[in-house]
Amino acid sequence: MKSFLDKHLLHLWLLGLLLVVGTAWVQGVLKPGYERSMLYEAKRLDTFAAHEIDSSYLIRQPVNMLYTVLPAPQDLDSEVCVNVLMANYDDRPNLGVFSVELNVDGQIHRRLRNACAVTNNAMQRTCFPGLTYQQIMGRQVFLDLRGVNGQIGSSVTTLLTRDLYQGKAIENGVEVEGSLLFTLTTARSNPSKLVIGLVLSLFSVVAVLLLMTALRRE
Amino acid sequence: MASTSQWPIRLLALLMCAKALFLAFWVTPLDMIPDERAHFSYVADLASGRGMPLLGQAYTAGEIFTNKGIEIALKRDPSDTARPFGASNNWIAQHPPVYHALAAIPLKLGLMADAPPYWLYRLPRLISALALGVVILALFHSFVSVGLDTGRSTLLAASLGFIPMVSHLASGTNHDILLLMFSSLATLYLVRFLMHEHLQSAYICAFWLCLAAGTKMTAWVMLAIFLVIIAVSMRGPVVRWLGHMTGVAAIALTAPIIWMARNIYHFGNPFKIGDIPAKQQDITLVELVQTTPLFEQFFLHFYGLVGWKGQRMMLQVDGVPKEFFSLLLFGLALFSIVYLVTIFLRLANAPTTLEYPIRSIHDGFNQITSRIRPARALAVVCMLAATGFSVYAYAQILTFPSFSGHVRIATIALTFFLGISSLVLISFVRDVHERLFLLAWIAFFLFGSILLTQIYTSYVAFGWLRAIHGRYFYPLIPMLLVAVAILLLKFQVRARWVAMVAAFLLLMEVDAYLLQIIPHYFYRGGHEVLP
Repeated sequence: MKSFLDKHLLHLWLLGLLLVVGTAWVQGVLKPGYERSMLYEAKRLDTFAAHEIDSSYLIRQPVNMLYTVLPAPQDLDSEVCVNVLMANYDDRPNLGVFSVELNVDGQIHRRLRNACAVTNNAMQRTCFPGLTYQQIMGRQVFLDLRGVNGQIGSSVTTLLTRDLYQGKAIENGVEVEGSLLFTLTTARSNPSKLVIGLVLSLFSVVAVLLLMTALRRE
Repeated sequence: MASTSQWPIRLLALLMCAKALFLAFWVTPLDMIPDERAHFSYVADLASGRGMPLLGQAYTAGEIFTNKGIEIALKRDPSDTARPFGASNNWIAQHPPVYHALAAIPLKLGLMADAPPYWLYRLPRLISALALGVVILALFHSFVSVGLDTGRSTLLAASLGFIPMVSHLASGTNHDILLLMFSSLATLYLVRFLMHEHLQSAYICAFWLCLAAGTKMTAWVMLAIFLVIIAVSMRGPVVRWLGHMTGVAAIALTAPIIWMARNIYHFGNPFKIGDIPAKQQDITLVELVQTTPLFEQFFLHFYGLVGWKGQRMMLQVDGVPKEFFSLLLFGLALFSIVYLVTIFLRLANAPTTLEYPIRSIHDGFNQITSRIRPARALAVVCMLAATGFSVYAYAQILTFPSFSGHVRIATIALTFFLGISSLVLISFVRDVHERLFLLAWIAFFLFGSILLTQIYTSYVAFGWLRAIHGRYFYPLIPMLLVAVAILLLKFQVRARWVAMVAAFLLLMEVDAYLLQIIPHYFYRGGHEVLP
């Protein structure tokens, strides 16, 4: 037993490391994947429904970029996404189209969404290809939900929160006592988890080699 | 003869620093470290020239880790005292400023170099990362000082760096690792003083105690215990003893006296740590222990509690790493009891009269207890009582039974026995290794008892468990590791077994990071995988 340990402790340890790294790989922890960084998240406080997003409806939410989390360097060139809490009136079959817009210093970035694709009481993600965090950082930004051709009785709605950290929303030109329940994120293909995993594994291999050296010298 | 080669431990200390720096600058998200936003506010106040924050007046911005936050924390006018929207009291202003003054240096340099915010928020993390390397070296030299060879000392010292919580804290803006560093250095010189009776070591120990006390008030308890140990062990005629003890105490108490004077000046209370509400809970200490997972949480949080409740979800490291660590501490506690029993048996068979000159307070106690036979009988009774108390404590704490829960609670109960029995036996022993071993457990027991009292008081006042963090024991961890080094020495544990445990601890840390902590950071801590 003693001589087996003397000879094979390092081998057994490396086998253990292989098992850990393999498990992490199988579980997807180390796989480079698409991920997002949360830059702002409104709090859910005493929510209430807004008006239906029909063809005449516009709700505007100011987004103060000063209140967003400091981005990591890699976030600067990442695509901007927003998630907005929406509802479809208990899975009512809704029709029509509405748009999710980011108004950046007057320049509008628009994405159209089908009302029928909105799930009830869930965050709906919209990403803006080509729009990076760097392009909106420090700018005057508004998040708009605008009806395109929806009808009353078959449109979706959004939920407002009493968390007014980002300021009150403006519904058809009238300020309301609530704010859109939204998050601002960046999305990118990120290999950093793999790099982190490999660097930490490398540190541990060097550490165990030093431990074995200390053992051998006795 | 022990090998004198120290390069493996030096490289390991460097490696620990490098790992902590990597985690600090590229892995650990902001606000994942306990109280990081409040520590950063404190550091920013110093680096921005606003002076030392005052408890009750100082604040931390609501969203400090944002673009707006950095303007509030680092660029606001010192005369601007109006609180911004969302700001809250900076509770960390209760702590003395040694850590924050040191952490302000890299931040100030970053400000002077106009570094981007990403780096400004992480520069104070340098201090904890560098401190971890010093901790490893100081522990190594402590173990060598008690006579352990360099190989086993290297393996044991490095093991502390393989605890996920230690690596985690070393990658953040937080004072606990610096406190651990000062405590390790104070322990090193206490060990040298007890082993070699060099007065110089007592003075150096006092210096590090002073810095530890200037870092966090929990170190004040350690300071008091260490001063008593030095006073009881210091040899010499009364006048010389008085002169040196005055000098040692004056050095050690400088920081606490200055801090208490400041607290009296501002608050009229030398121990001001925040506002405590009126009593809310009518509960006894036993009921608290029976109805809350107090002790087990201490145990688990010591191994790994990642995240901070203020902003992010918290993760308690679980699974195989947790179970291995629980079994390891249980084994060490059992091992300690075996050594304690051997000390007891040796003393029971020792002659009742000892003739040697009394040169210290400890010598005096030793002569009295060794010569009086009823003292031995009393010691036996006390140890039986300690056994009974430990069994009682085990039964009371056992609120959440699972196999590993049993292991952890049994470990805690065993430490009660070790602490009380060490208090009983300490005056009987003369051997310096035995004294160091018993002193470590006495210090741990006294420190733990005071902490328990504080938690109970806090629970009564606030109505919920607060401050149940294993990191609060950091001042005493170096002393306990010295006790482990003595066990390895006395039982001649082969280096291969120590290496095996150290290597497994390392593997468990990798397991914890890759399978639990990194996913936690990415899924909850500011990074989230898209479906």
